[in-house]
Amino acid sequence: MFFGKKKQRRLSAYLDGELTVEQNVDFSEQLAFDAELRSQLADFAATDSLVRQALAPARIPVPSTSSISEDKEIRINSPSYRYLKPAAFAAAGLLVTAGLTFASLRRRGIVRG
Amino acid sequence: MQNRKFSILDSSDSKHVARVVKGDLRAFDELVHQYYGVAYSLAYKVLNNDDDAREITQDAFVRIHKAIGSFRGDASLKTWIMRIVMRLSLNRRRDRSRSAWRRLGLHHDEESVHTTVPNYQTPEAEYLSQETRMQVQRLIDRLPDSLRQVVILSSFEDLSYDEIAQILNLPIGTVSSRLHVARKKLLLQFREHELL
Repeated sequence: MFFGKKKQRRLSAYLDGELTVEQNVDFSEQLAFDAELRSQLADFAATDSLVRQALAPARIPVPSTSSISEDKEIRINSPSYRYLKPAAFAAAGLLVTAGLTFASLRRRGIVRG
Repeated sequence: MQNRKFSILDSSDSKHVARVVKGDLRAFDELVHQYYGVAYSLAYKVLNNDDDAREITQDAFVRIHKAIGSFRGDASLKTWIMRIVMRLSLNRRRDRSRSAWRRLGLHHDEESVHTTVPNYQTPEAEYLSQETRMQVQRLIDRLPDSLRQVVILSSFEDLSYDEIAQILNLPIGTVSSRLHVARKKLLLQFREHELL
């Protein structure tokens, strides 16, 4: 793929939301008519996504409180971990859906509870 | 600029700083809670190790507490904090590779920094298998320092080129061109390793 340097840089800037409104409109127009440019944009977006996923820490510690020791040094007490388990969200969603379905079936008299 | 905006000098920043400077420990606690996640994430992304990242984050906040009186508000508090964390993390990374080199006689490029990989995942990480994740990390690790640093910072979606430039003390144009070069290199590598 051989784009001009300027176009290449603009592609990255577009992806990063770094273009001005005017530049953005102009570049969107170019994208609409240039399949190769669209394909390169998609490649860059996929690259970024892979990088973000690979670099993301698996867990984010949450600090408890700070304290000042006798030698006047600040201390951040050992962090606990906040888990954002997707499974927990999924389970909560399932429970709510099941509850609503059950209530609806009960209202219609399909099930008795 | 559109998506990657972050407000420079929040008024809450300066209030916070003033309270911390006066010795308000609760204000410092709030500051720690507000920025711990981003500080830890940055350290982790540079060091790829949970223990090191936690240690560096703690160290960074100790330094922040000591130096906050000198924060002049030229950049946002977040940028200032990230700059401190970045510097400490890079120093740690350098020390670690030096000691590994001495201990094992390894060439820097061959040194593995993937010492601890937790066995459970956050939503961002869940889509990648452990193997793919490590392969991608290894390829990012092989980038020259100047490119890797920009890639790491750009993975924080809310950081603008301007903020990345402030953290790394570089002109915006350099950030933009390095990021573009890094993307091209990574894309080629990912394809070569059939990751894309």
